[in-house]
Amino acid sequence: MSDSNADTQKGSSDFEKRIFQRKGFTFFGLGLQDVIRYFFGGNASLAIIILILICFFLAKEAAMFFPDHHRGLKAYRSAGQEFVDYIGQEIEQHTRIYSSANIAYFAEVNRTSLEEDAILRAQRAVLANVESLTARSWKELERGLDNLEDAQEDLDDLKESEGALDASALSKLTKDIAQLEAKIVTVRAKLKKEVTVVLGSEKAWDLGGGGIGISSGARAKVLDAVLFEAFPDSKEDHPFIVETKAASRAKKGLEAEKLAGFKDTLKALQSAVRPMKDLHSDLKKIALESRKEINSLETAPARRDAWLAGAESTDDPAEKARMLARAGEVVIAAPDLSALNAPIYSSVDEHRTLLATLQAEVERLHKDLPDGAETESGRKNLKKADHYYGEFVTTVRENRDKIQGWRHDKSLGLMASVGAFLMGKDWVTNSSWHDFYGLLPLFTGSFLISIIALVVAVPFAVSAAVYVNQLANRREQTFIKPAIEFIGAIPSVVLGFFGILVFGETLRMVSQLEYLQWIPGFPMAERLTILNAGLLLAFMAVPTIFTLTEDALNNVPRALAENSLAMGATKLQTVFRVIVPTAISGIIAAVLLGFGRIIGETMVVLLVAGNKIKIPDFTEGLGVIAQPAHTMTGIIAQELGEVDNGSLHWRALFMVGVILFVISLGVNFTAQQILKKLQKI
Amino acid sequence: MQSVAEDTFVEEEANPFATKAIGLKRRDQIVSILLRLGTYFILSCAAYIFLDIIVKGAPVVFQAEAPFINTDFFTQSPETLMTFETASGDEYKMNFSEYTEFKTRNPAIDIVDEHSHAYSGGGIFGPLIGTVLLTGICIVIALFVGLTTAIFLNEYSSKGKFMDLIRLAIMNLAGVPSIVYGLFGLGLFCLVAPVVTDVPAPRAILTVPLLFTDSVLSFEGWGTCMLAGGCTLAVMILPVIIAACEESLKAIPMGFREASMALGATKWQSISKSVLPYAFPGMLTASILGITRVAGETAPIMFTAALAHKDKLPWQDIPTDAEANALSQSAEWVGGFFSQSVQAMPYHIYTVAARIPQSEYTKPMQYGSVFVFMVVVLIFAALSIYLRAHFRKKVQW
Amino acid sequence: MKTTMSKNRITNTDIPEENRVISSHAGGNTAETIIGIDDVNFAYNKGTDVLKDVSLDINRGEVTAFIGPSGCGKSTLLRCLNRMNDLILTASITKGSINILGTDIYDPKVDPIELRKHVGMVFQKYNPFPKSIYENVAFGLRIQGIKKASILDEVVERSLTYAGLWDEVKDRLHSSGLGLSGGQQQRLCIARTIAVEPKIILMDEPCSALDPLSTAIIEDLITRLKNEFTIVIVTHNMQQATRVSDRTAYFYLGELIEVGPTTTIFNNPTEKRTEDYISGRFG
Repeated sequence: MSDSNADTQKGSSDFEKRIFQRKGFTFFGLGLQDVIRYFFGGNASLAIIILILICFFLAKEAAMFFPDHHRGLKAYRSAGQEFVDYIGQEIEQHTRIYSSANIAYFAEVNRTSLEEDAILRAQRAVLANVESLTARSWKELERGLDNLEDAQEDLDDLKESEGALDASALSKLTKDIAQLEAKIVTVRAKLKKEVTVVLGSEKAWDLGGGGIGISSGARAKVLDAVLFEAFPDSKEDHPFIVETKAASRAKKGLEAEKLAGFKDTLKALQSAVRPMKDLHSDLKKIALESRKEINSLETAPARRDAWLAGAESTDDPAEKARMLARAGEVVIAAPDLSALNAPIYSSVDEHRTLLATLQAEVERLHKDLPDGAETESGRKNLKKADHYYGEFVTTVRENRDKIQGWRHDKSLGLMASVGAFLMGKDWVTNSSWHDFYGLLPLFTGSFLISIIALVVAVPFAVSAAVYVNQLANRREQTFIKPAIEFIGAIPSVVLGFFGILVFGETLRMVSQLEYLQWIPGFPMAERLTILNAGLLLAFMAVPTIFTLTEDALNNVPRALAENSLAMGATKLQTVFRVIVPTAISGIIAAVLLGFGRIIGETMVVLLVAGNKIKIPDFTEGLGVIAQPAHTMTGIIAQELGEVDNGSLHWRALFMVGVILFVISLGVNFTAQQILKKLQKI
Repeated sequence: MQSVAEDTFVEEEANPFATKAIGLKRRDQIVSILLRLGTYFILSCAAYIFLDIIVKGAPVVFQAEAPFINTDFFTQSPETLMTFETASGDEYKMNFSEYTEFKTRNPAIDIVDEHSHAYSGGGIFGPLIGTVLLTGICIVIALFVGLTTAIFLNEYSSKGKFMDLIRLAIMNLAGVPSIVYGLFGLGLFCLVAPVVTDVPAPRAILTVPLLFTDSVLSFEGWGTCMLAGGCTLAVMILPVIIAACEESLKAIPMGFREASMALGATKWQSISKSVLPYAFPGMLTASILGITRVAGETAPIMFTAALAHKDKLPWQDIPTDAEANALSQSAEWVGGFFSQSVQAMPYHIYTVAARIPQSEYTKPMQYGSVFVFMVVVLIFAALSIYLRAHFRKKVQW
Repeated sequence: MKTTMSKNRITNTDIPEENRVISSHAGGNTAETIIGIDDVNFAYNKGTDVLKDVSLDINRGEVTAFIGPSGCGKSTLLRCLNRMNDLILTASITKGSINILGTDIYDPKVDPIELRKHVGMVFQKYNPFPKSIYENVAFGLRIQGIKKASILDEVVERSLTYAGLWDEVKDRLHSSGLGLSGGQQQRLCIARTIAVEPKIILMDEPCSALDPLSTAIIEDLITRLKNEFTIVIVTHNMQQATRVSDRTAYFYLGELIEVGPTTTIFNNPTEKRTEDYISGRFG
């Protein structure tokens, strides 16, 4: 270990003794090799440090989230907002019954005049198309008309003006007017020609999927009517349109007469809730005032400190005195919550009587609603109304005890805050009423999208892997494998871009095809839906699942396949009875990792999921896939940039991040364990 | 003997090995056709996306006359596009900078029907540069840490609880969603990471005075800047790099190290002389793979580095103290350079796809950007796929 | 054995009892040929024949051993007999024909799948499927579309009994086949093969991965099996060949050097090369 010069001087015996000893310099007692080793080891531990740091930063915000959130919930209760929202829930359930029944009613009323309505819709759509396609000439014409009007006004002014007529100006104006008039005539002619051309093209007839139900005869007449109306000369409707409108009105009238009872029921239903609504809005105002007082108490110390600090820093004695006075004005006394909530307590009895009448009324009216309907939509919506009636009854029953037993000062555990976050059905921010941070709408969105993506991706990815690994010839193998890996390299933002600009519209068009109507949710009204996002994510997940599945299949010993073949199994029997079952845990791990990739994907869902923060309406059954939704990843990406650091909202977003982190760790860990088990075999 | 004759008779009459289960055969065929269809369906989806982007994007990037490439698109930064008409009915379409110039030049002109389309004019120079910078920073950091970690794991580590922990950590890091890395990067690099400064910001969570200077080490974060973005991306890509580097190290036969050690080389000598040179191709592949992943990521840079609009290019107008000496001036310049936010291609695409009103005038910018971005990313992807296949085939010890 | 092996499946369809007794004990000239290999050349890649002009008859109800040094083509010939070599794309028979049960098995009309149902194979490395013991044995029947539990139960029990494994595994039929010992796994593979009642069983060094005790059990099993099946076995172990086989064929560098009753080959070989090999001078 000592320095080597000494070695050589001490003669050969010493040299031999030390021949196998370590040489080179030392650093704090460590050899160079150790230093190198620790350097590498230190970098390796970075992975753990990063994981710990991620956990720390997420956990820090999350840990601060719940106390804040809890405080908010407490204020929500103390101010009586909770009570008011109970009433609000009852009203909302009622509204749902009413609006479903209302839709049913109009579906019934309109059922005989469908064709007329379709014609009128088509006429409006085509007219709008024509106008947008010939927009430039329109503008030119309008400008011409404006100019003409101006010139004429000038002329009138000139004529009316006292004194001698300026002959030259007059003649110039008349000439101008003549020119303008001539120009207008030519522009009109041009426009007419353009419109005729445009009407001949298919573009004008793009009715946005609303063209169902017009006969070709009607189409010709619509064309006629549009031609008639497409010019500014025509101030009134084409006789055909007038006729159609009248017919539609008459038919509707006839139906409405038949359904007069239905209509009365609806009216009664609507007015039944009115007293309740009045009570609700009164209480809401009171609760909001109370909440403001509570909030101002919370900020009071900070405000006073700010005034005091201001007073400290200023040199002007007058200013100082003013600021100190302001600081003294800040009230730090807790408002008398019992007094604030007195109106609410006193309304309990009123609410009870109102609710009793409302419930009796709704029960009666619900029975009065027609049982069957002539139209599909009518039947569906009546059924929905029925369903919502059930929900209404449950809500009323559940709320009864809550309302009776409600106290503004009932204690609220921290777990209630956790529950309100994990199980909360609303995510409402920047609200003047109360901010709700409920994970459920986001979680259901993420989950639904992921499930759709998996349901679509797994069959394709696994069959591709089986095909490439077992059945494809060598040329196909060398081409398909890199091609699918290539798909994995497409940046997600590009897929999202494709989804928003191309795929959404394509999907909507496809959903309107007659022979695809068996698919739940079709036809879709919107472009950006759960289905759209799910399909794009399925495409993203395919390479992950494919590659890992292919690996798993590849790892199945050849001997197993040979054995199976030697027993007279066909190629596919071998694949599906021996190879796939042997690789099954690898395939499951592949699917899990694919799921992890999907649920953590941000850009695609942010761009194409529709970003509607609401739990999708499951009464549609599987049709739920045609609705827009928001996701856990999407909400972070969308809202984090716009909130203050350290605010409750900011922490709520970090909390969503924690949930994502936990889910992905769970999925990943399970997949790793499965793979490990596989390796042991 | 009678039975032998019988046997023979039966065998002569029919081929005992003729296909019997015709239904089974047919089912086999149908299933394999289905599998094949599934495979080609995936490929045709991919082809559809590529074709759509190429057909709509290529015309923006290429042009019929020399130099055949729309140079403006590559040399200008995104701008607002103005479309307007004059009273005489002429239509104009120009970038905002040209538009103001045009207006000062023709003060008398009567502009009617004026529309502005945000981010739809100009080109994609700024975002391209930003992406290059972010990717560069990320790769430098990630390769350094990733490579050393891989060397440690594969060459130095012995089996044990600690190693299992490291491996578990790395594997699980690989599955964390990129948006969570974004949150992490924001929390650590933008808000907490230490900087050397004379005046600590009020939000600093900890300040440590540096000895012998006026400056303090203030844990106040770097703010939204390219260094924070690059670091966030580096952390995100680390597991991929480590795994790939380790794989390429594992592929080097044990014999190389043993032979080298047997000749009296130290551990480090044998690693640096007879392992790393042969593992180089694999590491190259890893870094290209890393570039592909990183360049396409949007979520991690959304809050840590990216900016939708920026007038200046990163190296323009960085404030420096004119009175200080050259050394501290250049240090200041470097600090200023890395602590500014940048535009980035994926974020730019997100902006033009979702955050501006759509019109026919925004289409060229949208498709042009996506086309260029796709081409760049996919070239790297193709390179990494090719290299991997190539080295796997070629190198057999 | 015949008492446990229910008669109606194997014995009815195939070989009448009297015939089998004759063929298995006569050990030579009077036997009936079941596999006729006629002047066969075989190449894995075009132009390089690994089998040259091999002609050989294999008799029904006998155990025929293929011996010879490594790379002499004996395994290749074995795999030609149930067309396992078809799995290698470039490999093919370049000359001659192989007749099994009077049919040229390389005839286009022959379905290799059907062929393999009649010509079973046991491999060097025992490799049960990662399924239960029961499912391993029932596999062959399941792929033939037999689903009825009573038939499957019966066949599984019979095959396992025949392979001498029944008593050892009857309590854990539904546990994984991979949990058995090596010798048991190989017997499981044999049980799996005989469950489909092939006429011929090909064995590619079935004992080379086993310990001596397990080898003895398998050899015992082979001598019992020849009552029911025609067996072709490739082996490196000369003693094994003398212990189990009726006839022996000696291969060297792709050529068939000598074939005859085992006792003749080992005690009184006509060819010098055979004598050198079996007396251990090379190989």
